[in-house]
Amino acid sequence: MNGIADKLNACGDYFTAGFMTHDDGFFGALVSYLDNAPLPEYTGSELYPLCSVWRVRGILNYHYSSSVELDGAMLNRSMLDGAEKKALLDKYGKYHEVGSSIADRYALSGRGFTHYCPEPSDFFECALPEYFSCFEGDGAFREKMRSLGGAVVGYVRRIAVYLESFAGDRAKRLACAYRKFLSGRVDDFFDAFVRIVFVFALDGMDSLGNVDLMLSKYKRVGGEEKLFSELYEAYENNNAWNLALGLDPETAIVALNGFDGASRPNFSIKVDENTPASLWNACFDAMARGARPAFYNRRGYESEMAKRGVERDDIKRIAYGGCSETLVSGKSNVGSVDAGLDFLHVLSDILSAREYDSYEKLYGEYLNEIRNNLKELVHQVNAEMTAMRTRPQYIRSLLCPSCGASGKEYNDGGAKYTFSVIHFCALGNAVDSLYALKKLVFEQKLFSYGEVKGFIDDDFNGGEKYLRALDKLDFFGNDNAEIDIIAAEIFDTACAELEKHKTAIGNGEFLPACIMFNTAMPTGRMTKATPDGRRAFAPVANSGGSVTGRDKVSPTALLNSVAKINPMRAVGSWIVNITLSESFVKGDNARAALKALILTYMNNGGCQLQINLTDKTKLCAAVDDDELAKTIIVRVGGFSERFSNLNKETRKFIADRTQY
Amino acid sequence: MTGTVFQIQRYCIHDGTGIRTCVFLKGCPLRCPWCHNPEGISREIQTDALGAIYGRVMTAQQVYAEVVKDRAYYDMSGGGVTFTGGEPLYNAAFVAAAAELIKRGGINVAIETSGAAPLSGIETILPYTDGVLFDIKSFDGERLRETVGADINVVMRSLQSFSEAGIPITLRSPVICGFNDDDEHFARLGEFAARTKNVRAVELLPYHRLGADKRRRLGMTVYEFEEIDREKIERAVRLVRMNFKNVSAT
Repeated sequence: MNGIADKLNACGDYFTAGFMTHDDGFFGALVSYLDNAPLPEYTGSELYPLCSVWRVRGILNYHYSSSVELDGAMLNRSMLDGAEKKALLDKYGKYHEVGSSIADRYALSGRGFTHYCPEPSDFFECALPEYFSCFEGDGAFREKMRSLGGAVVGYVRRIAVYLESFAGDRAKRLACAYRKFLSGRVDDFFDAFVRIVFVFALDGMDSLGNVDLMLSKYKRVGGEEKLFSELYEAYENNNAWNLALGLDPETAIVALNGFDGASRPNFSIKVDENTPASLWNACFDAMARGARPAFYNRRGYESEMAKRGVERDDIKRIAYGGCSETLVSGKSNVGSVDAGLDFLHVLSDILSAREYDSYEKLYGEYLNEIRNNLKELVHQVNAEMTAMRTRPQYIRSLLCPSCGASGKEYNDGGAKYTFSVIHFCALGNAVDSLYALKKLVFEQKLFSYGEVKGFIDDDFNGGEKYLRALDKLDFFGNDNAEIDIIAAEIFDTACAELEKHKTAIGNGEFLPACIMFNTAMPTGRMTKATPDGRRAFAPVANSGGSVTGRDKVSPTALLNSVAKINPMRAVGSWIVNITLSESFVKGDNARAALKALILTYMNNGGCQLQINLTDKTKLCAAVDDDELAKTIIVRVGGFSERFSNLNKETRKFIADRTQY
Repeated sequence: MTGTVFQIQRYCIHDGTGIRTCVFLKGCPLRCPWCHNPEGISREIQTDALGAIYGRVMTAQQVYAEVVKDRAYYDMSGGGVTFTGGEPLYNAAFVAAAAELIKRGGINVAIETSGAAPLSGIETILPYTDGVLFDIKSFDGERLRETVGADINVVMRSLQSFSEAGIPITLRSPVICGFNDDDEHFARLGEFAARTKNVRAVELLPYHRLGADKRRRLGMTVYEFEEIDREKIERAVRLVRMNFKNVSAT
């Protein structure tokens, strides 16, 4: 092993070298990296570092969710001989011997990805070495954490020395802040910001929680927008995700004013009726400049998470990781979209299995199959979660003080709260399909069940008459009570089943959600044609609202439909997309109306709302125009992205959305 | 009581205060060549060249059932329902019946009108009107009669009725190249707004081409007007503002 480690150290792959040296490979890798890896280059910015601490790439690499990842190409190119490569792979294989027990039909947005928001304010009131006193006590785990903490302190010391080597006020200011980080508490806004950035970088640049609240007690002296601008650039350059605002309006306004065209973070703005006009205006101003914040029902989340066991003092830490997955910063382990249930796929299965002579029988069996599928899904997720205990995530353990209190590693239930976000998708398609069958087959008897099954099996070849009949029907998202009740019942059935179960680790809750990420197309590829007129393998609905283009009445009609399902119950986040023309944030009246739209939806039980402002002509043109696409930021299924970073199929899918 | 409605449009934010639902009624005595809702001119239900049907007969109760769906949005935004068209005063009895139900439901009602209707119609709807958006297309009686078929005396009497009843008024003027886009019109509009009781705002509506396609599909004559450039609109706003402050342009 030492021979391998020597070779790896010699070519700067300290992470892999450490992995091969220590019995606990991941622990060894982290310490070795922190002790030896070169620091990111300082290029004169206000903040440092503006990238993940773990950005030096090797054969094995840190990943904030999967802990350790293998770069096969680098392994092949490396100077290790055959036996050494085998030894590495054997050790990695044992470490990574988790696999996945999630079936393809449930792995809608990936398998077992965990987002996290560290809570940098945990580092504000003390010197960095003192923070790690939360790991005082007996046990091998705590000892490792203290040791890892020591390596982090050493890394920060190296940062201070490095920055002190630069002349120039910015470097000096940063060096001073890092020295203070080593010796004492935060004194001012800048100190706090430096610690936020460091903790964010140490975690691997995933998501940050309520940054405005963290900074609220420190006096601003002017120019703080620039700090936020740099932070957002770091978000975009490092594919980082979410940032929550709204709990301290004055600081949130500064944060929004710092938006300067970056495609990230996914701004998550918590609102309620007390949100001041100044913050609303700052949001709309940022939107007019290209930002794409999503709005979150502050009171709704607080109430629902309290029901799920989040204590009163921790409620202010509710934040969102990744796209929109709800978590408690610094205190929760949330399986971010651990698995998902495709409502349309379940329906497609039962339609294929047998014929039904009444709508009631079909509907009853459908709801039953939802329950059965969820039971199986939960079983699989829990098996996966149990297996994950053998794959620790020490950096997250380090950034989660409850792990110190419990003496347990992060993936072993060390966090104070454990949640698993389960993603429900294609509700709109399923509802439209059931309504179509109800009307056209069972009530109007225009087609027999067998005929419709034939049309579906043949991808609607020969089914033009059926498609024309569908054109005369209404769809979900148009405030039609007869349709909306179907959606509400499906949703209620699924949530009720999920709420019966607990997570295998931490005895936590499963949180329903609809977070499509960018999966509307791959999810659709799993299902053949369906009675709502959807062609075989075509995309499904891209959010918890209507199927793309079927909401034809108004934003209020769409939101009325969605509100009837009680979306706040899906507290893992039930995202809804709305596309409005840019005129909807121009002028006081338009802004007042938009604010009223959002707040009314929240009051009606809405959870989250993400608004794309577009010039539809421009968006359609940008489908094929990469240069134009670079200038547009869109909100996709929960996250914001530069239009040019999306493939043409996705761009077209987004451009086809109804625009009001 | 029934009326012929050609559209009920929700989430309207430029037709009165707050979030509104606009109820578009068929039938108008005028023939404005720039009208962007030409399907509202005839009282009859029409089918265009592509088979689209404009208009359906609705009862007051049916209108109420539709507009009440957005009550929560009206409450939050200070919005409500706006009757427009077409010319709502041309359908005064129906509008009054529907507006009465809506008012009883606690929802604000506004009327968008050219004023080209008998006073009796205004009297019918006045008790149920919280606000009016009143069109002032021109102060030149002859031009008004020749171009759109309106009698300026009737228009002014209608406006006076709303004014004396204490109904908050927004004066609206379409801005049409070659018809009223002269300095005199806007200066006079500002003076008029300043001296007319209960006028709260003036809005200038630059011409747009959205009605041209509909006119073609309905077999109507299509009149082409030049688009008004931004500079001209800004000048018009300044002229109005010389005498009346609260003026805007869409």
